[in-house]
Amino acid sequence: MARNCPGCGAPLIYDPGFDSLVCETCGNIIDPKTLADADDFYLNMGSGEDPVALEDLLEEEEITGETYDCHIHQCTQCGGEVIVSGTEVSTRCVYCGSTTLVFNRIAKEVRPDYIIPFKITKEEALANVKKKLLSGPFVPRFFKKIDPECVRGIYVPYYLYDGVYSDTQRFMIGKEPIIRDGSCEFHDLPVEACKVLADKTSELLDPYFMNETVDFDTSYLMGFYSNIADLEMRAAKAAAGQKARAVFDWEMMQQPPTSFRKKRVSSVPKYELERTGYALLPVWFITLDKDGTPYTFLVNGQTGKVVGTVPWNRVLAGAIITTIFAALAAVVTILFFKEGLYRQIADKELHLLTHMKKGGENVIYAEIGIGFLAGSGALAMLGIGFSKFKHVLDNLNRTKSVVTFIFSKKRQGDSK
Amino acid sequence: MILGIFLYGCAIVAALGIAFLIVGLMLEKSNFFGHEKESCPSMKKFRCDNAEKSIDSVIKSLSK
Repeated sequence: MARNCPGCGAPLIYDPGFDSLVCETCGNIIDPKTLADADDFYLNMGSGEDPVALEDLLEEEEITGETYDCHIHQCTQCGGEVIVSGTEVSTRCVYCGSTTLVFNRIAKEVRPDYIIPFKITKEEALANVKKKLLSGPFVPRFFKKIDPECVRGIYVPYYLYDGVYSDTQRFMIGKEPIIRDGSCEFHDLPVEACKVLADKTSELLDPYFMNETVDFDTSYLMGFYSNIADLEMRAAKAAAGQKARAVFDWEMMQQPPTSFRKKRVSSVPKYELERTGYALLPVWFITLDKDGTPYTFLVNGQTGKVVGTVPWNRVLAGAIITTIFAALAAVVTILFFKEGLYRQIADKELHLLTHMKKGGENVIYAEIGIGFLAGSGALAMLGIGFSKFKHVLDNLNRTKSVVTFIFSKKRQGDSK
Repeated sequence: MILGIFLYGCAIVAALGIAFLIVGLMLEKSNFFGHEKESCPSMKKFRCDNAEKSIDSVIKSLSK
């Protein structure tokens, strides 16, 4: 159900820049708290309201048909048919552009408790993405000039958890072992509750500052899309435990700050986390299209943090790899042949083999050992180099994920 | 002689790995956005104590 302007009757949309509902037709700006809560009818279900009237009203907004995996609702503004997927709560009518809410998905026990309204406008989100694209030397020229193909503000569902986490961890600082006890409390730890979105991507969107949440009000959904939570409770609790552990472990590694290499050897975690709330948090989905491949960047709608990976200029990257390799190979070659290191090793080896006495086969075993260590070291260095590349490639694949693209794109209404 | 050639080959392979590592780090900084870790605002009352040796004394002894 769209909120209408009391002045001209046009649909209102929530504008993050004003933190208010704005009429795009007459320019009226309205504080959502001053509007009568149109959800009251649904919130008061079971407290003496007429069940016949309730069923009739629900029927008008309920499913009027079904096609494949979509449901069809009727827009309350113009009566047009609006297609919504299984978990969408709000979407735009393709005929009149007003926001349509699926009320039965936010009524009763499935209604969110809180919401963080969008603080970053669409223009600011686009500017943040463009700033990142312009700053990298390896970003291909095409991406520096590209216009986004699809921009959508979507409220993503999160469960909130409270609890206590404690751990005893054993570290090695240099060669010295250290055991540390730690504990902390979590209050409103947000855990993403949408099955479709990749956990790794949504983790990178953190942090969200939960002290800026407000009580849920459908006014904040005006002009944006949103989904309900569809993650099972058990999976959500497991995800909460993993997130709490990752946060705690990172904090333990920072304390105290030291330039010496610190390595965690073992840990014995204990935690108790309980779900205390359900909130909708804001995310901008911005998709760039390159030769039919979508690249979806996410922008935290509260802080403006940009998440995503851009493909690199392969020619430039290849040239730099070749240059560095050639330089290092030249240094090694000079050390071995010109400075005589190779001659020294060969002479030493010949001397030992010539003067082998009883037990001298140990020399051969020592050579095999040295060779094995050197070979392992070289392969380990190659593996580390490739794994760093793979890490960036994995994140690039997440940015190119068709699932994320469809989550954003396959919605009603204008995409820009 | 064989050992010398083998060590030379290992050094070349390690040089290739170092080249990939350096460029991988540069790509991570330039093309991968949002990987910076930050403190979680939902974490409260963080406490961390030494169970055995004091960590400060270990760091002091390593600095000497």
